[in-house]
Amino acid sequence: MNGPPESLQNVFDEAFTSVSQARERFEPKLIVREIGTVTTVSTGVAYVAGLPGVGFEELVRFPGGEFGIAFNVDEDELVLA
Amino acid sequence: MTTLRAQSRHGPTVSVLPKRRSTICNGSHHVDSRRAVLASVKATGTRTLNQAIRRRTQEEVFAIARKALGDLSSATLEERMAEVFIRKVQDMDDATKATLADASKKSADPVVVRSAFELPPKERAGINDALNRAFSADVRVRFETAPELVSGIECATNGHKVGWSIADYLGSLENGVAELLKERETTEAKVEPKPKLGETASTPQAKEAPKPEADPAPKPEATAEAKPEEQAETKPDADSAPKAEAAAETKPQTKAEPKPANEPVAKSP
Repeated sequence: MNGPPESLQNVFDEAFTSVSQARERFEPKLIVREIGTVTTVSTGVAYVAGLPGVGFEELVRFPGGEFGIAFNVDEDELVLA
Repeated sequence: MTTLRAQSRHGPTVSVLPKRRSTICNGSHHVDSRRAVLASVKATGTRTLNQAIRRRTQEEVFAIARKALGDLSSATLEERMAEVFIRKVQDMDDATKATLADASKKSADPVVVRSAFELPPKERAGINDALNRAFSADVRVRFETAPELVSGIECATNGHKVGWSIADYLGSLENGVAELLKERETTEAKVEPKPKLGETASTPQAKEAPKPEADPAPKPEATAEAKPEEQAETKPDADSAPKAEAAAETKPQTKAEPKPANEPVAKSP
């Protein structure tokens, strides 16, 4: 193996360093976010009303952390798979 | 045996020596290229494991924070957060105010204010008053409870929302950490040293050694901070919905292994 191997200790140090840095940098403020409403769900496809700013093939996060890909973007409705 | 004895007694003949050198050289190249492939595979495996450890660590840290704050939060904390939310609404920048006011005017539905616990009348009146002043209009407000906020207030109108909740706070912080980790992983992939190939590094075979994911292709990002509300009775099917890992499938695969030299490169003296 070439170069120094990354030890588990280093990995954990880096992970927690990132958490610490993000915590120090983070300044909470009111930010406007776009939201939509799930109107129908069938066979893994969700129909969502709202989200006017979402484009084709963009990822949309559902409550609970699941993601959907926008594959049909209409004016009033969005279809996510 | 006879041949060997003859060679050991009299030494290698002139015709045998170049052939032997060529074979040894071939073997050396082959070993070097195999070693490079092994190093590359090992490096890729290590990097993948490291990324997984970092990601899981981050997820667990925030999961613990969410649980702890959710278990410890109370209506009293909620009232305090409502006070801060009112102050934040008053201090909102003009662009944010305009966006929300426009969205509110275009909708016939009232502005929805959600909180993890039911707000007392005093806080409700305070929030309504703050929104009236921010939107410069008489805003109709509907109050709802939403335990998934953990604690805090969220104001939504016509496809837009602002949140002052623990869930929102932790979500934003988690995104910040994820971005930092991604930056580091990108840098790490770029600066990772190529496997050394010893003396054969200058040969054509050595130059064909694989570079471990030196140029990862861009992944589709959640550029739109879109987050559908869970207002509809039918929730998205968690099992059928594509998971975050699905996006990672677009990552580039490791480069093809270099083929070992098939022909001898050493010349006979």
